[in-house]
Order: sequence, then structure tokens, then C-alpha cells
Amino acid sequence: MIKVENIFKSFGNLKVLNDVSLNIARSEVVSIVGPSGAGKTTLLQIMGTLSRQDSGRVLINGIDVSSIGDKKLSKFRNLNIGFVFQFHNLLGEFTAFENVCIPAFIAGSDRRQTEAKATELLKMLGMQHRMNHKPSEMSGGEQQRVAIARALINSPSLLLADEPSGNLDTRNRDELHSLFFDLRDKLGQTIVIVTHDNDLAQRSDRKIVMIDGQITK
Amino acid sequence: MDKSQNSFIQSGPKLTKTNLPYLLGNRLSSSSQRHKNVMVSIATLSVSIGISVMLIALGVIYGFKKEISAALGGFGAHVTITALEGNNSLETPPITTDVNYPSKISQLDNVKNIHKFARKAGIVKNDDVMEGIMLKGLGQDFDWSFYEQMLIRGSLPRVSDSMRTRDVLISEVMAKRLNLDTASKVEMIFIQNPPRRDLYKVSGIYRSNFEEMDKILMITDIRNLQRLNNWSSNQVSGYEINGYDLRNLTDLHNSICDVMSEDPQIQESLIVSNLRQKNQMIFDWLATHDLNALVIIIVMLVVAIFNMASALLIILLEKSRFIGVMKTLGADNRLLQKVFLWRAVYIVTKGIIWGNLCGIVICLIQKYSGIIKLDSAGYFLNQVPISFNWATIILLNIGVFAVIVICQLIPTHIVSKISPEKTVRYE
Repeated sequence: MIKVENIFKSFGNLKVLNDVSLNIARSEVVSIVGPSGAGKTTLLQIMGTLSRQDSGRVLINGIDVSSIGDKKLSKFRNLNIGFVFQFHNLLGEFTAFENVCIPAFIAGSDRRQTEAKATELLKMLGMQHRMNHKPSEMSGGEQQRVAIARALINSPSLLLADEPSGNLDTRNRDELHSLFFDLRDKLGQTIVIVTHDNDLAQRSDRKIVMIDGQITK
Repeated sequence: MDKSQNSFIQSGPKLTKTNLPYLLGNRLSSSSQRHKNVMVSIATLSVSIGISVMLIALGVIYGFKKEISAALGGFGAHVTITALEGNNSLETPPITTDVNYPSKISQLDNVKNIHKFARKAGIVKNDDVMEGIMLKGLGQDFDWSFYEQMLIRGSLPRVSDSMRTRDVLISEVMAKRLNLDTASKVEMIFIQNPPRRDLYKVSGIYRSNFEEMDKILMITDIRNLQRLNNWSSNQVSGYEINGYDLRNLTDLHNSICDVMSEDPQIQESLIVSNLRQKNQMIFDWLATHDLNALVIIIVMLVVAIFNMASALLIILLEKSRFIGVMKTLGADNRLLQKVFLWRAVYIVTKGIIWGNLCGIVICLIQKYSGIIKLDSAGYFLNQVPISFNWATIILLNIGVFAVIVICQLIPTHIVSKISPEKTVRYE
């Protein structure tokens, strides 16, 4: 599903990723853990094509995303990768329903099908009562659920989450974590999560430990 | 799903990849109003003021051209035929009307009317004042609507009666200076050998904005001048010919010359002159206004473009998180540029609408109230004239809109510099 080969990344003189390689299989929930500054988020962003590595390759479904131009890369990201961040990053000017639909409209999807799928996703995530609410009118947990729905609208191969429960209270955090495993079970979703949460890491199919820009375990 | 909700998708046009930028830009515009973006207000104001100033400048310039051209053409004519001898003086030797060229000229397609006229310099005398005037005689063949529309008191001189009357038509300016009103008696002295005195009666008073002529011109029956000059009924100072459009003056002049050239004897004794030849300085002065208008338009446009670009850059930087998030969702630079171009379109359109409203209202106030006066010695008119040329106004609006919006392509390129990895990273 995802192959990361010999990734190097530096910011100025600071080496953030130092020869990182890993494979992730389909329908796997993989946690990446490690101390702050280990390079977890940077690795996630490179895997998600938000950032370009200095050297090495990233293959998603056999496609080398390192060699694609910006415009094609945007399209690839739109169709194949979903993101969930620690801060929800929902667009405040739009309702939950609209936020979920936007990636599909960027892809040029049919309007009716998009609306139907968005409704279905929000129902599945228990958010149908918030469809017409703006992010500022929702709790943290609800915002993250909507963010997940948005990430899934284009049925991406890969869902990347960067400390998704970092801002949530215990109850919402546990619910969110359970949600990830539900998605794996129900949709066969492949999920890579950067997290500081040991419980989540232990529950995952695989735990990858990073220290100082390298994978140690 | 309740279809009455979700205005983003339901209330607007069908959402497609094509109109997604418009709908996103529209939503950003409407939500921004609540945050009262000062820079956006400044940009809108800059465009409004720019358009207003351009409209007012064009209104004034067109007004000057129209009023002065109309006055010159109305008080005189587009083309004049007089005797060649003494052509440079106000009084010229008589020419005969027993010729066939006037009827040939009247049949030309570009001739609106042709009429006879006579002119004589004189002095008006009353108890307190003596003033030099030009007495102009006109007949039934003259299009009196020019004076009729300016008439404010009394009536036009009676020229169609079989009996000659001593009616004179004077301007309001002259009436005030000479302390005259309708039915007033006016004594005139004509310097000739022997000198003549004549008594006339003011039949009507008109008001024009063209003080240059208002000060000196008196209109009467052409038969009065024929009598003063001891001319027969078939002798006049000349013919005045008007076309339909002053812009075709040269063609009109040439057409008349072609007719005159059919009789070489007549051609040698007469001269055909046009309005531009007689008033070259005035026309050159009017032409310089075109350059003034162009300078004003360019300056205001440049100011509006820069203000708009500054506002757009600030909007872009304020929305850098939005741009980053959209990029993570798969939006490319082009789509995002279009979103912010639509934002610019919204601001520019709003500015143009307000600018047009303010500019037109100001012009209308000046047109109908004449609040802003002019020194007629320098400007020929006694108030700032206004005239609307709607074709030019529409073209101006389209041009300003297009230029400002196209120039915004440059600042919107900044979206390509905004990196999602930085903007979506939690701080």
C-alpha cells in the first residue's frame, strides 16, 4: 500500500529525517510514536505529499509521488489521501455538511452523489444533527468527527492523522480512537496515526517508534 | 436531508468544479463583512472614488465639447458662405440670393438646414450705457428652435409677417447690462455714412451659458438690416449651413465646396469657411481636454490597482490557513487563485457600482443646479457643463473592471508560495 524508501529531510542544518524506510499494508492501523522533535509529523507530511523529501521515494499504491508535478500531485492527494490534524482545520465559513463536500467538489464529483455520501458519512459518525452547524457551534470531539468525514469523502486509499486526539478530553479521545478501528473494520481503511497516546499505540496493528529522525522499532 | 438548509449548495447555482471558485470566493466575501476588513473597505473606496472622478471628468469634458460646439454652431453655423472681399471683418459686402447653389446645397444628404443672414455692427444707447453690439438678421428660413429652447421671457421676433417688425431678441446678460426687459425700447446707432439711428423693441429675452455671444448679439428680422444697409430684398451678408454632426464638419465643408465649384464665377467671388477655421483656438483648447481626461483616468486607475492589490495581498495572507487547508484537501494553485480573483471581482464590482452612483449623482446635481460657476472670460461658459456619453461610460466601466481584475492575477500568485506543511501544523 505505502512504501517509504530511504527518506532524508533537513531544515537548514537540522537533519529531521535520516534514512527512514517503512512499509504499510492495506487496512492496517499504524501508530508512529516518539518524543517531540523526532520527525513524526515531518514523516507524515512527506507520506501525505504535503512536503517534499530531500532524497528517497514514497510510493503509494505503486505510484512514486516524488516524481509527480504539483498540479497532478494535488489531484492525487485529493483522491487518495485524507488528513486529520490535531486542530480540526475545518473551514469556519462553511457548515459541517459543506466542509465534508468540498474535497469531492474539488475532484469534480457529481453533486447528488457527493451530497448523498456526505450525509451517509456524517450519519455513520453520529453527526447528522450537526450537518448545518458551523465548526464554531460544535464541540472539539464533534469537530474532529466532521474532519474525519471530510477526510473520507473521496474514499482515499490512505488516512493520515497527526495527533488527532491531542486537544480532546478523555471521553472524546477514547471515542475517536474507537472510531479509527471501526473505520478499519467497516471500510478496510488504511490509517497512519502520529500520536503521543500510548493506549492508542498499543491498540494499533503496528507501532513504529521514531527517535532523532530514525525508526528504532 | 432538509433541502431548505445548506445554502452553499442549494441556493446558488449547481455546484461544479467550474463554479466552485466563485462559490468559495462568494462565501469568503460575505463572511468577511462581519469582520469589517479595513483594507477591503479602503480598496472598495479607492475603486469608487476612482470611478467617480473618471465619470465626473468625462462628464465635464463632454459637457464642454457639447455646449461650446452647440453654442458656436447655434449662434453661428457649421459652414458659412460670404463674399470673398472683406471676409475678415464682421460686416461683409452683400451677396445675391438669385442663385441656384443654395437649393443644391439644401439637397445634400449631410445638410440639415441652410438659411440667409445679415450682420451689422452697432452701438446700443440708453440713458446710462453705450455698448457695442452685433445686430444679426435672420428670416423665415432660419431654424428658430435654437433660440426658442433658450427663451425665458417674451417671444421670438416676428419674421414671417408680410410687414417688417422692429422686434429684437436679446440675451439675459445683455438685458441686465442695459437694464432692458420685454417691450423695452432700444435705440441703436450705426456708424456709417451717413450715420443712422434706429429704434427697436425687445420682443424676447433668452438665456444661454455662452457669455461670449450673449454680451454682443442681438437678433432681428433680416429685412431690418437690408433696410439699414440700403440693400435690396435679394441681397444678404451670406448663407449659414448646418450639418447633423459637428464631427462630420470636414465632409460637410467639402460637399458644399463641390457644389460651389460647379459655377466658377460664383466660386471666385465667394468664400466658404467653417466653424473650426473661424474658432481654431477654441477647438484646439477643447482637444486638450481629451489629454486631461486620459491623464485623470490613468492616474485614478493606477491608484485603484495598487490599493486593490494591497487589499488582496492582505486578504491572502489573512487566509493563509484557508489556503493551506484547501491544499491538503487537494486544491491546486489555479483553483485557489480563482477563489481570490472572485473575491477581487466582488470588491471591484461593489466599488464600481458605488462609484457610478456617486459620480452620476454629483454630475446630475451640477447639471440641473449649476452650483459650480465658471468665469466666462476664461471658459466661455458661466457654469461647469455636464454631458453624459453613455457609450463611453459603459466602455469606461468595462475597461476599468477588466484592467483592475486582470492586474490582480499578480498578487494572487502568492497562493503558490503558501505551503500547507507550515500553515496546517498545529502551534
